[in-house]
Amino acid sequence: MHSMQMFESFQLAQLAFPAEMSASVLAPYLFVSAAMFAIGLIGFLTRKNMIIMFLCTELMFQAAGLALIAFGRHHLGSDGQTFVIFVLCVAAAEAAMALALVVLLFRHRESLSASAWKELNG
Amino acid sequence: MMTTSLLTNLTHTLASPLMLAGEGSGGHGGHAASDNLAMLNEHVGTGPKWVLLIVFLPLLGFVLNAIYAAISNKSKLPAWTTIVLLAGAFAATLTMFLQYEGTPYTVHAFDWFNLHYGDKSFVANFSFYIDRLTILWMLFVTGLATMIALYASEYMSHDVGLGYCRFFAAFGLFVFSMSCLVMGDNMLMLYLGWEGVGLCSYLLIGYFYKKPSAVAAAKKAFIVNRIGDLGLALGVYLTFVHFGTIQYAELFSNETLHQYMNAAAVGDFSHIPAQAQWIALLMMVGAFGKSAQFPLYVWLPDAMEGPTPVSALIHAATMVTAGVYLIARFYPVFLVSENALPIVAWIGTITAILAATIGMAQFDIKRIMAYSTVSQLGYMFAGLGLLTTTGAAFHVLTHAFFKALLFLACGAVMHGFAGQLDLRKLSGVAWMKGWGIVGITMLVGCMNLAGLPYITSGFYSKDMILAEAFITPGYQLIGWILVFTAILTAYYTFRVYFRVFLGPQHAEPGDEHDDHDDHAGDADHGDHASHFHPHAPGWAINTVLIVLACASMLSISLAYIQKDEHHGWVGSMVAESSASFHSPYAEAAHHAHVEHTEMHAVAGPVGNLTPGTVFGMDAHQGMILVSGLGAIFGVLVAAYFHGPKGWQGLFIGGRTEAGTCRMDAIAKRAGPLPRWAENKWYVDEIYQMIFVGPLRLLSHIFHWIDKLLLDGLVNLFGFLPRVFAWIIRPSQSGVLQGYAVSMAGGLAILLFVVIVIVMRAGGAA
Amino acid sequence: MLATQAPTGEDDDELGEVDAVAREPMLACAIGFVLVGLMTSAMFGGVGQLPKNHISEAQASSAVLEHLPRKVDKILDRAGLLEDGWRAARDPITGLAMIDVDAQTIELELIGEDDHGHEAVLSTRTLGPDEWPESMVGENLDRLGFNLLNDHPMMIEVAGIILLMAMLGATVLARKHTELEEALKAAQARKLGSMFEDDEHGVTHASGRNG
Repeated sequence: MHSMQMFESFQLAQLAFPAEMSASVLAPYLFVSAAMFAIGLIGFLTRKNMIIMFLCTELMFQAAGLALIAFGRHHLGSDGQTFVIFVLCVAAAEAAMALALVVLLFRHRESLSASAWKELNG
Repeated sequence: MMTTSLLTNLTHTLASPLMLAGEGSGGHGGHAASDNLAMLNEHVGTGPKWVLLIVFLPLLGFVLNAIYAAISNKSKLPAWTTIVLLAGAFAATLTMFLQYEGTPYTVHAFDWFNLHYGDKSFVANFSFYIDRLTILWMLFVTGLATMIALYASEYMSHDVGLGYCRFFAAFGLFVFSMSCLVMGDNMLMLYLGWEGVGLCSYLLIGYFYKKPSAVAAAKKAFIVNRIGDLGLALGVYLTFVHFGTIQYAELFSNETLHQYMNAAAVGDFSHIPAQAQWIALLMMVGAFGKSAQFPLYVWLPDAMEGPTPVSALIHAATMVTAGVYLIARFYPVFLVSENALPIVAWIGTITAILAATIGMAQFDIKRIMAYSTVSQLGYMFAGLGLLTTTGAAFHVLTHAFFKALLFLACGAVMHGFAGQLDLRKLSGVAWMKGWGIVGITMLVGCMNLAGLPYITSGFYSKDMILAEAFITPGYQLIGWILVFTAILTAYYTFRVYFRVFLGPQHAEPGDEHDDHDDHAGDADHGDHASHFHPHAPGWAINTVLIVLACASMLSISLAYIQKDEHHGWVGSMVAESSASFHSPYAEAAHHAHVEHTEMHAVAGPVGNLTPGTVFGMDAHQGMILVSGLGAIFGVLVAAYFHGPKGWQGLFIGGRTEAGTCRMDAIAKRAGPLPRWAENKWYVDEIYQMIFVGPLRLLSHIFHWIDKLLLDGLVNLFGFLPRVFAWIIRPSQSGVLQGYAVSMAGGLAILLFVVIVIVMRAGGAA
Repeated sequence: MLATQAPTGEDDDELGEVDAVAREPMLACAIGFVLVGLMTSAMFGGVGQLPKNHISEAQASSAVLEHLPRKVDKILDRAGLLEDGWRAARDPITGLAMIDVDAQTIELELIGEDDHGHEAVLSTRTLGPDEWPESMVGENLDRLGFNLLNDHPMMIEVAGIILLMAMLGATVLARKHTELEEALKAAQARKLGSMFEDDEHGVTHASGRNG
């Protein structure tokens, strides 16, 4: 049965034995990745607090990482995970820069709100 | 009875110059038609180039006067330049007349429109067509122009400087345009001259451009002329459409036209297409506009706002005869139209009597002369409509001389009495010192206008027209109306003479007196009157008046020259041109008279009818009697009502002072009629109500449409970018998330497009 | 708690409302849902056609175990299959461990000193499938590490550089800018400049003077 098959696939995955992943096994991972990405996107677009906006971008990063890992597993190679390590590294660097910029911006306007930087009158 | 037969014999002998000779005229329609066609079929050659001097010397005068104005010349040089150049043109005209051999020719100046496409062509070059009609017209145009330029050199002398140069420049341009009109070889040259004279009329009427009434009069003249010009333009177009050419030489030798003429000569208009008939009807409107016929005459009396030389030249002698020239020149075209000539005749008659009644009630002597011009032009048009082009042309010639004379004499009065023209305020001018010549020449002119029998050329010319009215069947009523108008003419002409020139001496200065700083600024008008001295005319004015008076008297002889072959010298000139037409009715009447036979019906343009008679006598004889007696009667009536006491009023007058006369009592008891006549029968007011008022309302409507609709539309287009910006501007809000939304949204759309396409292409579920 | 500390101390009453109202809520949700839908549809539509992988599981596993002979040793040792001196056999040329996961055989070798005193292989033995230890699998971590260092070594370098740049950038951005007066600035510049003077021989040495 379908659920039995899925349970078996999960068991095999738990044993860290590289089992061939079918598309139906891959799908949930991708769905979660998509959901995380959308949540991160919505959060970024909706919130005003710059730190929270940055948090949401990190969430989007992680979503992409999850998708990478899922596909890496699907293809039974290590490339996906390797690339995720790199992505994490870049995300860390970017986090450093973003937070430095947030600090600078905060110093100028004494506020963490993104709407403090709205100078156009359109 | 014995008296009537005696009278008949007397009039017969004295009337011989007015009757056709026996030989040439057979008396039936076909012969006359072929005579006319024979004239039109004559070959047109090329002429000598010095003929162009007639046209271009006045244009040179225009250019030189413009230069004088540019260099601010303040002497009388413009006048002398113009006089010399115009005299040169007149000399060239005389030479042209003396050297004319009898065949028309064209003189080519330069190519203007010379278009050929396929087998069709439109040729309208700057070239001139000379035949006897042209020569006749140009003789009096250039002659009078020279004389009047001489007169104007003194008349306008108080205006030396820019105004003087402007006057003579427009003068020269006018003579150039008139030459183009008369001498042009195609209808486009005619139209060019037509518009040119209209323009110069506008410029010259509005010469005193600071006077609002003068400016309004100039505009009125131009606009009313323009209405007529529309008709002329349409006529030219239609001529080109129907006959394929607008050149005279080709038009008059056009076969279709000859066929039409043959049919029209016997009164058969059923086969002539309406398109050809409408040409004449349209051109006629143009002639009415230019020659001030009803209903387009309203500009001529107002045109008296211009200086008197302008009135004399343009509005008496030359420009207003352009309409007569038009109809005369295109007489073949008018003959083939069934209703054109009758309409011309009736309009002419209506104009004649209408203007005469108005003229009777005016007090401004220039206005009276203006209305008499309109009235006499009505005579000329009636003559054309009554199938006597000779009569019309002769009347044009004599009228040019005596009307110019009358205007110039009135101008001398105006010039000398500081602008006073009211005949209630002037009297006995002929007896004032220095005014004798003016008095005598004015008398000559008045006699010609009244048409006193035998001693004036006006009598002969008017008589030809009046007689023809009775000969041509169906126009008897026109004839009697014209006779009545002749009596009125004699009356109002001599009203002017008896009031202004005879009787006790009295002169009140006019409005221009205040402009002249002759006296030391007296505010009291009464003092002015007593200190006012009339300014007698100088040698230039007197010379011109004398010359014109002599010319008027000498033109009597024109009636006797070549009286046997044609109706006098003018007849001989007209007979060898496109205007020649031997009316079958006239020939039949003359034949019957000479042979003492009964008149029978004759085929002619108005039908197969019998020519008429006057009281059973031959029309010419009868008319001499009737019109002669009528003129004398008119003079006597004027003498009774307006003449001064004593011999000056022919012993029947009773006027003792300037302002009142016997007519005043009758005018009071005649009810509203004199007032209405004085107010020109309210024609101007009716036009204002019918045409000007609604047009003004329409213009207001259009103004508001323009402002709201069109400007609104344009403003809407200007507003669109703002709307567009209002839509787009929020995208540049400065909100970070807004930009992020745009990016994400764009990505979403792009992905949507890609995935949907991929799905569609791939066919996946 | 950073989020709630966003406004500065003065405007305490703004604490509650600064992030209470969302910006662009509708559009954001719409875009988010659109993207989710697209991704899931792509997933269900296109993922099924992903190309099959060419490697079998065993291959993936054995591929890394071969490269990790010492790990093999350790596992065997933990499983108690190794006597003293025995270890997993290495291929003499490539150095790969001779282990076959499909057939579940491991070659073992005894390392000792030979007659001349060098290290040599004294004897070999083959472990059969019945002695295959359960824990002899190539773990994900092993594979990942091997892939990282073997196939993408440059990535580590680049990652290092990126991190270095980030650190420097953050430092530069986040430092405090102090405003010096003109005179002090000039003195400071002179002092800094004099620290690196040239002597007659063109040798630069640090000046002993410190301000």
